[in-house]
Amino acid sequence: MIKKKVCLIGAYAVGKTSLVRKYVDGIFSDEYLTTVGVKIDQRQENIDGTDILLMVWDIAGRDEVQPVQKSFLTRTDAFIYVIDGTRRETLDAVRVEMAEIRNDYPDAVSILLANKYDLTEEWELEENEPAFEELRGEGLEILLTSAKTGENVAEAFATVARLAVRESNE
Amino acid sequence: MSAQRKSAAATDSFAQIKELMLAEEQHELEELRTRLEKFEEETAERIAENLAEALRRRRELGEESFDGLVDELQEATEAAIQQSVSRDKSRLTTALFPIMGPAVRNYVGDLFRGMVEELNEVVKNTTSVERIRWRAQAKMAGKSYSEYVLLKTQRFEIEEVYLIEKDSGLLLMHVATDPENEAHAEADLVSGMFTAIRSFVKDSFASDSEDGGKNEDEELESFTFGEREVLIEEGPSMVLAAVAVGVPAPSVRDQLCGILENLHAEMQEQLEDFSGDISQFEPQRPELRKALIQNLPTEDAGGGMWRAWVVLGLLIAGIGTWIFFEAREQNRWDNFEAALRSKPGIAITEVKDRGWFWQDKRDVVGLRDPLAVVPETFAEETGIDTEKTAFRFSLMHSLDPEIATRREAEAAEKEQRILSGLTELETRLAESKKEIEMQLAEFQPLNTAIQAAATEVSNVKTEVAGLKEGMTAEKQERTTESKRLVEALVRSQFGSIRGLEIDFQPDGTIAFSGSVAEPQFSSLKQRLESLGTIGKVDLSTLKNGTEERIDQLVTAFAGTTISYVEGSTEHENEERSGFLCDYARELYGLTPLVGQTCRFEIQAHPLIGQNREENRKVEQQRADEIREWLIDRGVAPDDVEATLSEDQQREGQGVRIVPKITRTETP
Repeated sequence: MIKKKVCLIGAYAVGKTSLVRKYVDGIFSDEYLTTVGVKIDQRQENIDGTDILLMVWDIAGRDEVQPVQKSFLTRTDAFIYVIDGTRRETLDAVRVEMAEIRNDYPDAVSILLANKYDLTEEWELEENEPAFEELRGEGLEILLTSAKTGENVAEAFATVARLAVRESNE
Repeated sequence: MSAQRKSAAATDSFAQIKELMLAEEQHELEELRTRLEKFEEETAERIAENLAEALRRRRELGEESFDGLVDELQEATEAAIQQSVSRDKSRLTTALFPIMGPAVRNYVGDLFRGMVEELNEVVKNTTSVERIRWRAQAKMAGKSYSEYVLLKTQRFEIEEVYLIEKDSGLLLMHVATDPENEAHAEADLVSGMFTAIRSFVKDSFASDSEDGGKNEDEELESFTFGEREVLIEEGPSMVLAAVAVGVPAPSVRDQLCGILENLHAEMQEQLEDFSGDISQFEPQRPELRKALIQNLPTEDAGGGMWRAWVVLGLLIAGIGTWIFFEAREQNRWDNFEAALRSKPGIAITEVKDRGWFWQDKRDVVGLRDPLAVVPETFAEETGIDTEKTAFRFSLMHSLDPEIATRREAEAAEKEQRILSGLTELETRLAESKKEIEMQLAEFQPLNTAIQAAATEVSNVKTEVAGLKEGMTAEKQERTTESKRLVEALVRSQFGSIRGLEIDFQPDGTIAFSGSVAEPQFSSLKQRLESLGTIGKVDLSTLKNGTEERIDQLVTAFAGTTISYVEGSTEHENEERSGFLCDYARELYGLTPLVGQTCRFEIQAHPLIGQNREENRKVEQQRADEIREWLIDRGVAPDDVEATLSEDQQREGQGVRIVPKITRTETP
């Protein structure tokens, strides 16, 4: 069994908690998010016959009042950045966050989830968004997900697990 | 005007028609209105009267319905209570007093019961063997007894231990008292959330450091929830969280810290390259299990009681054995005492026990006829330990028929024995008389001869006494003559020797004194010592004249120097210097007579003056001259040596002749 610490990063109401609510196992209530600022769940993946236990830290979304508590991010193996496709500003916000985190944790792997893909008609972002291409060019894997329909959610966690294992093997 | 009248007439008509058509309905309407007004007035009263019944019915309608009512009432009730408290606390206090009073009493009662139980426990602690052992162990451990008792009795148990990677919060290992609980999936979540909360607490409550961040030294060390306390020990790379039930002893923290240190020592290298693979830490699980510390108070009953039972059993067995032997001994004594009492001529007045049971002794007091059985002998025959029994019997004359018969028989036998003895004695006396008479007849001539011999002996004694007296007088005369002859002989032999004095002392001792020179002294002494065969000789005051002369000469040299005219070899008194050399010659000649040899050192003392070189020449000339003088007087050159003295205290004292005498042989 290999354990990896995964942090979900994203602006307020982008659907982070919804992503983990149905697809991970947890025992703590969402109230921890508003009190402590984090809620921890876990999801087990199997990558090439190896069991990977992802400890998913669902960190309360950043807003003007409450910044992300940096101490929660210590020694994270993988970051999952989540944006809301219907709100362009969430992409801008996460890019700021991403720059800081990449600077602080250069060895951690990361992916970007553009959530609420079930609401494509309301999207302010294009699937071929230049920013997406730019990020892909930097090596960032981007998945279009829907917490509501479950589209690409399981794949997102599997991808994170695979990337984290590959990183540690390297 | 006519119009007004017409209108009034029409209204009356309408009212009449209405009354005719609707009178009944109007009346009913009026009644209903009256009832409605009354109903509103009576509603409060009716509700007040039927509220209890209404609530009961509502409850009978079902739990859900009743809960709905309760929910509705709850807010109002709480608001009412809050309002009541804010307005006047005393009303609610008074209202609650009947409830709170018993509750407080129950609490206080429970508290006192607890204290009494604790007191009982303390009494038990101070008196039981186990606690006495604790006291000794506390003494040896250097702890106070109360602290030690607390350690022993403080019930706590660490149920679970989480070993967590400090930064990521990943669970490295989890152990529990029940190994089945170690595999549960929630441990990882608990570990992660625990780490998050630690970070949260630290970020929220740690004091600010000087650099503007949080003080890194401050950490969440423990938190409690109900009867559980989570003890947290933090190391450089790992955090150990122990979930304890009860109150852990202070030393538990030290133990946990020690375990964490050990784990760090073993795992640090792996932690530096930690990539999430926790299987590599499995070998350290036994070490982590040591953190599942338990302190369950030892119970007095149960496992430890077997020792008490063994001791009790041995005690009972010992007492039983003692009772058995005591009973057997007592039975034997009772038989003996009964037998002794039944013996004729024995009257036991008292049997006393004395001493403790392990050294008990008996005194048997009573009266005994001399012809009765001897108690000591009878006791030995019966197997009674006579060393533990003292018999003190006074003599008596028993009137027991058996004893009386025995006494008469014994008296008759004794009489008979005396009579026979007398007869035999008479016979033997007669024989002896006859024999003596015969011997007297035989000794008569001998007696006469003895008397004659005695007379003869008396005569001889008288004669011997006369002879002895004559011999004593003759002996005295002979002694006197002998002394006179010895004196004449000694005077003739030694009287002419010069320097010898002779004294004939009253007790016959011949004392020789005076001074005789060698070589005459040695032969004279031998001759005088030979006189010891004829009488006592005293030579203690007889001196050797040669030795005396040698002593005189040596003394003379010690205090005399040969003086010179200052700075020259010219003698101040050459004649005197010559005499000194003559003395040296005499000394040189005398010493061999008494078994000595004599050598001379001519010491030339320093001259006065600073011209040392010239002075030394003069000193040397002076010494050489005296040396030549001595050689001229017969002193062998080898026996005289000229030296220059460096003794500045004798500066200007000329030349000194120093004789050096050594003994070579017995003269």
